[in-house]
Amino acid sequence: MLTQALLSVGGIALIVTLAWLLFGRAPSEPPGERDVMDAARAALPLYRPVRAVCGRDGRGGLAVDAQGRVAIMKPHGSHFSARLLAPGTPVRMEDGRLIVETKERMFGAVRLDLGEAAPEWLAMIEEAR
Amino acid sequence: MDLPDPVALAIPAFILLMAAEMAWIWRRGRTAGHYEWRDTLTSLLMGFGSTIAGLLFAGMLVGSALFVSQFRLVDLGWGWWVFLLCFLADDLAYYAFHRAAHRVRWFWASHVVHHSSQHYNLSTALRQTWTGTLSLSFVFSLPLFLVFDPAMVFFCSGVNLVYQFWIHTESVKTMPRWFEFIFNTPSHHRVHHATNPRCLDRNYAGMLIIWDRMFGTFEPEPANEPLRYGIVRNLGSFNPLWVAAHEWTGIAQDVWHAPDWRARWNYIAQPPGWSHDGSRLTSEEIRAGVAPNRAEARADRDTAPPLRPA
Repeated sequence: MLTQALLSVGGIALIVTLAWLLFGRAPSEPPGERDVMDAARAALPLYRPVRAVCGRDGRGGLAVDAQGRVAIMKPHGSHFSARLLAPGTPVRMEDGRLIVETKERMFGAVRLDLGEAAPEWLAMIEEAR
Repeated sequence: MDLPDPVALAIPAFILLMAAEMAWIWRRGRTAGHYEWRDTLTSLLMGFGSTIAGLLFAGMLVGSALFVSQFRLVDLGWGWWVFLLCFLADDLAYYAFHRAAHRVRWFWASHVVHHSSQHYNLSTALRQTWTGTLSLSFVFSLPLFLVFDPAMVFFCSGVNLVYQFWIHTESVKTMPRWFEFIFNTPSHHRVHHATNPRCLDRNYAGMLIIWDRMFGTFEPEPANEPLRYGIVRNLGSFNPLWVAAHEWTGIAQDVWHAPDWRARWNYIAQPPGWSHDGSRLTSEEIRAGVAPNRAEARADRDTAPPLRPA
């Protein structure tokens, strides 16, 4: 049993190291608005975004549908993880970045570098139904 | 009869095949998206933890098996045809378990772990639950102990698990047609792990896809629609503890806040996505919502489709 445990631990170390060496670098092309739209459409059933914005550093984004509902995309490895923002979601500007606090502790806050688009999206989140 | 543990024997092969898959993907220039080291680490830690949990709770499983075995109806012996029968029966029991694991939230709370990766590669196969035995998922196998020797059932179940390792890959497109018709394959199982509406709650097979064909849950891999993997509400976390416990936490919160006892029971026994106020979507509802000819009708009808906000 000890041999099996050691083999498993060694195997985990080997495979994770190999994954990091071969695939650990960030993708050469950062995601854009199209990716955020696609991610929102894919991740949220029956949600049809009409506009999206992507963080300038590719770290997350926001989308909005025709009803004014705003979805947030948080980078999760090489994918996005999405949530629809509830009315009254805490949001603020800090050092030029939009900080969106989802109500899920494990999903956490998302910091978005939206540049000049930030105030518009801040207003959209505050007005979201 | 003393039979080996197929899973323990297969561990070196698992490691070699994962390394080979990574090398294959890398050589073909697909350097992003197919393996993510943090996702792989989480999957492998979940797999390692599941073996420890399996040892900790083995008493429940073995004790139940031995108890039921006292009431064996027949003694079929150890002939090759008995093994074959046992494989078939075990695979059918697996189908039943797997279907329940997607349709009953109590069982889903354990099984969701296996679906929680947004990647689909061989490491995903090892992303296993820590709470499967505790959630009594083995009850689906108990009838087998009325017919077969417990050692034979455990062996067949182990072979079934080992078989399911290789189907967690995008590197194998399709197998020969006869094989695809009978056996579960990477193509069939990609559909099972996909969150595209048409793929939800489809292809529950373990080794044999014939059960899905027989019971109406088969869905072929779409030719022109990229598959997205994970769960309807992806976690956004690589934390193994959260991966293991998030759905149990969700059940506890829902039961706590439920308005009455009927709702409490339903939050445990209804399909994932059920809610007392209809504010969430089950897989069936998502499938129906985007089915051909219904999508537009629903879009027109629902000014605000029911989604659970963060």
